Amino acid sequence: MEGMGLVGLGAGLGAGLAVVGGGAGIGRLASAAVEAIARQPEAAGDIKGSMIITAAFIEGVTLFAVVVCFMLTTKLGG
Amino acid sequence: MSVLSLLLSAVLGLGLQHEPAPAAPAGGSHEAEAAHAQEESGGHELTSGQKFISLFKHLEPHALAALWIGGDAGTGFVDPWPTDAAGQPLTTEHGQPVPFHSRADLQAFYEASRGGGFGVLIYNINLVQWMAAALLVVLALVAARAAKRLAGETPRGRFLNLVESVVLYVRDDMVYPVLGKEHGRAFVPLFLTQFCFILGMNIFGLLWLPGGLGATATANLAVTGGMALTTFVVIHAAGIHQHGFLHHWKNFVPHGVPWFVLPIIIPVEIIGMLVKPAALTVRLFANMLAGHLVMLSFFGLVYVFGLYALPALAMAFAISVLELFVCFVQAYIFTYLSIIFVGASVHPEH
Repeated sequence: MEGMGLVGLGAGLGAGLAVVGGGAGIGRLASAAVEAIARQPEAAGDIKGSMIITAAFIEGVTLFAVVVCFMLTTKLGG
Repeated sequence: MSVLSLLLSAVLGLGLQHEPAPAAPAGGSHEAEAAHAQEESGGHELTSGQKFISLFKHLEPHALAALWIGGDAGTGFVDPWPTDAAGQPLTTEHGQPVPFHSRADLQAFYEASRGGGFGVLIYNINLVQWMAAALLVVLALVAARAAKRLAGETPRGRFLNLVESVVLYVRDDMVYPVLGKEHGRAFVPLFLTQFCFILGMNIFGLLWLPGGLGATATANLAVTGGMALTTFVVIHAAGIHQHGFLHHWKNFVPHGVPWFVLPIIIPVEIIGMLVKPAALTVRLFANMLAGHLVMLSFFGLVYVFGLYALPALAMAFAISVLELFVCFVQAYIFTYLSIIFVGASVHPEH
């Protein structure tokens, strides 16, 4: 089919870009959390809890983008 | 794990250097195989890429049985696949009947011959949900009997300590810190059920069940949407119970906001109210689907690279260990976010 190569290209690039964004977000989050725990080890439990929740928000958006890209690729193989 | 896969690939590389990969047809025996495959698939051969993609079809739910309720022919089970004019089921290239894809198809197919009535398809995800629910009920009954027998004493034994640790974790680390001891007490059973049910469905998704019965129920938007709808109802039911009907809806708008901001803030709050369950739905769905996609992608490399793909199978094993962790984390996150949303409705900040 015409233009299907572009669909694959778009899906691959989209998945990669989504992962770049999600990775940067979770990386910043984790660095801040580890720093906070190092400064104040007694608050480690609370910090870990809120870190996991925030990471889940970031991960959710990233996965949403990846699922959209995947849905594009299912058009390729038929 | 990476060391193991490196070793595996080295061993395989030595052993298979002179044998072509099965997916690349070269040589007489492979031509015969290709012809055989062509015979089986009824004239058209799938490329390795198409086989790879077709693996992902395993993530779609498929109907196992169909129940027909009412109508002149009476209530009972009917064949869950459509048949042609001669009464033969439409089959795949492997000779297996193709089940109905949606309830509307089933309804249209049988409505005339059964004299009205209502058809229901039972999917493999329904089966997995029932299994998870039945397991939960059995565990809860056994634990409740034990609690009665113990009558306040310290529980002993592996099973009871396991149940105790889960229950205490949900109560003391998830519900009480957000909702407080007074209000939280009534919500503990609900959120404990939600946590354990989602966890059960997630873990059943990793198990193998014979005959295509296995499925990840939480990798389906309808299932996660239903779970999020529970949260949505509880958010508003708890808020109305706590503050009264009118006051609950007034809580959407912060106090002391000037009137000219209201046209902006009311639509924003209504969108926020609807986005909460939608985000819960998509997060659980996408996480469970993505994990299985990654695993299937690694398995699918077998079609492309043949025996050379054994290291990829080791990676698939590693990913499934990660998935086990994700099962717990996603159940935790879904429940904890539900608790936070209910908490915001019961104790509005403003």
